[in-house]
Amino acid sequence: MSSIPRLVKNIFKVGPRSAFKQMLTIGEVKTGTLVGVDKFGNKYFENKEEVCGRDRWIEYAHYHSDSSQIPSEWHGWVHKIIDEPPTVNPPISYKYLQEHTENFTGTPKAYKTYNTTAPKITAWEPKVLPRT
Amino acid sequence: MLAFRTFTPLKNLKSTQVLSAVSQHKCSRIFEKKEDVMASTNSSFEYVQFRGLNTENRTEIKPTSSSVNKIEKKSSLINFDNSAQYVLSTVDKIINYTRQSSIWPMTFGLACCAVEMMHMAAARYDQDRIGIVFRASPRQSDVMIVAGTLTNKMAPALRKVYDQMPEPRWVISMGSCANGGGYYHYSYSVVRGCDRIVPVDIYVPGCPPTAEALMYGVLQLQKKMRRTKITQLWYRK
Repeated sequence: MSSIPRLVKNIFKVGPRSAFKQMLTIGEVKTGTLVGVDKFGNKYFENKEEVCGRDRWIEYAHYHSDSSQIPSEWHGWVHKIIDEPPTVNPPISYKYLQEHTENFTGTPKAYKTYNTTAPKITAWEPKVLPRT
Repeated sequence: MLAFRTFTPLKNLKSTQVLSAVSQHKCSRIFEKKEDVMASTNSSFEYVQFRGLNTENRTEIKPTSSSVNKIEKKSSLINFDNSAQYVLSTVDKIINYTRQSSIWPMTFGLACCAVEMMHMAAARYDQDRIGIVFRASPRQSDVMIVAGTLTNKMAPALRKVYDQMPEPRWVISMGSCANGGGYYHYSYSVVRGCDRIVPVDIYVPGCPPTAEALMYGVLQLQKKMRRTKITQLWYRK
């Protein structure tokens, strides 16, 4: 658990630069084994001695990280759906699988719904007949 | 009538004329542009919304010729006209940083969603670590989380509370009831979405959304705050 001796010990283990980065992003300094790096450059760590729920964590490639940047195969490992990481037990890659993208909400690539069906309501055009 | 403040006025036609004009316009549009829409899935769409007229086909699609990459390049902060804009972008970053890292939400807990909102405040998701502190006073808060079914009876109170909040202010609509009426959409006493009363920034889907989902919504709001260019827009004027 988090304590000052543990913090000092971990700072000496990982070095000041990594410690500063970790304090900015995850708010504590952790040490562990590097399990793997995915195709986007996110680093996945594990330390079995940590409390359950905090023993697997990510060092994102981008500073402004988003949990949707984790590809599906690593998502399973991070959330403890699978025990072995995809480096040890790679998932089957089907032809129809799309490439993983992050959440594009708020960017120009964001998905917007559109309607392609014909409207159910048809309105008439009111015509005023000239008075005779 | 405050709720209708944001609606786009459609010229000076009478109501019946407006209805007919819009749908006729749209009918022709849809048949014209159907192929374009299917072809250009990668291009962005411009939306012209006619709000509050009829429920079907309220949006009109205009596929623009410019590609997404072009838009990205235009909106990116890399190219500056002069050094003043460069400096102001840094000022903006500082302002946005202060805003995004001390979100004080006004809790508008109306139903079971409020319980999930409390879970976000509790130990597991621990909103304090990203600087969120619940304020019971609208005068001292900058985000309103509308959590739960908004009834007709509660709607004036919601609007009043929103009006009491100081600028800048944001609204998170939480749960399907607040998003669009949800389960109570056809009820006689429920507002069909709190965006009929207040302008909403983030919609969190779910019935109720998990605390994790709400937290993700807050992170999306932080993203939105990060994009605002306060001093740059002031300079451009």
